[in-house]
Amino acid sequence: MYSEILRYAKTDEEKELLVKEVELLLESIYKTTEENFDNVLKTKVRSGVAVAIRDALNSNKIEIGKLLTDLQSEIKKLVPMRITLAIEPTEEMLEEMYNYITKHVTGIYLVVSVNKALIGGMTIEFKGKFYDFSLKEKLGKMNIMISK
Amino acid sequence: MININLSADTILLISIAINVILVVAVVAIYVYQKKISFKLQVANEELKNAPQIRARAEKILEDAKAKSQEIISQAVTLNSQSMQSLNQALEKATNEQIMAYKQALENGKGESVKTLSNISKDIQNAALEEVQAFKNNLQQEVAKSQLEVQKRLEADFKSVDTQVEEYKKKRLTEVEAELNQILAKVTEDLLGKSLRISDHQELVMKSLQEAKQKNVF
Repeated sequence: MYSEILRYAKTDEEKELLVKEVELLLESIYKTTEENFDNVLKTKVRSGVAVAIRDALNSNKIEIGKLLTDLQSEIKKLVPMRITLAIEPTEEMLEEMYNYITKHVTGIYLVVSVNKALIGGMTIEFKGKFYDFSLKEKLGKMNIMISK
Repeated sequence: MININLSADTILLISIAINVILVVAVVAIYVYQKKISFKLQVANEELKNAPQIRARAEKILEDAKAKSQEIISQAVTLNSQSMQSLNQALEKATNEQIMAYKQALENGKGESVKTLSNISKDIQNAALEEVQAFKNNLQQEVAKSQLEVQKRLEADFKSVDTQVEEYKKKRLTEVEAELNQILAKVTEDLLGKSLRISDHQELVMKSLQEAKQKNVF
């Protein structure tokens, strides 16, 4: 139910934005002024997030307040997957990576950093473990094989 | 020339005898002169009384003088002859003694030379034995030292060889590491510059597939 909304928390930055957006929406539920729920959803929430929330409300016939608090709980449950790349990733790259990963594992968000020394590929830190799939690592192994 | 073969003792006895004779002669002369003096004194006394007596006394005195001179002359002659014989005997004895001494000396010299020769040979033999023993000891010591040195050299060589091997390994490892670093750096520079965004994207997706295969997520 929340997976479509949580897609807008692909990275740590997006996750922080989503947390703030949900807080604003929660605050707006009981307001009748300009800062009411609909206005805030239109003006202060990313369009994709807004669409996803509306879809969730319409399809599940759930109370707005409950949806948002449940959403807050789900966001808190998200686990970081720390990824290091050799270059600053494009939006497309991030999207493709996130889609591939979330096909196999849910409840994660990406924390992306850049290290040019990796040359290419990536390293992954997930649930306390470190994995190196970088080109630098592969070249290193190749050098060891050559030197043997 | 009288040929007398006398020993030293005999010569000494003869010499003593001659001296005794001379002393006796002198004593006799002395006694005789005393007697004459007495007679002269008596005669003088008589002369005072009588010139004849004086003349007779003078004659007697003359006779006595002549007699005494004759005795003295004989004694001197005897003494001269004795001295000559004595000298000859002494010279002969001395010569004989000298010859005897020379002979003894020659004999002694021969013995000494012989003894010294034997001593010299003994010393030579002893010295040769000492030298041989020293040579043997020296050879043994030299052989021992050579063995020690050889062992030590071998140990040192092994140690140095091990050190060289270790150093070689260390240096090879260092060189390999340096080569790897250089290779990595060159590759990094080349690939880093030559890879496009799409290449990076492809590499990232391949990495994710690999991660999935390794059950990273």
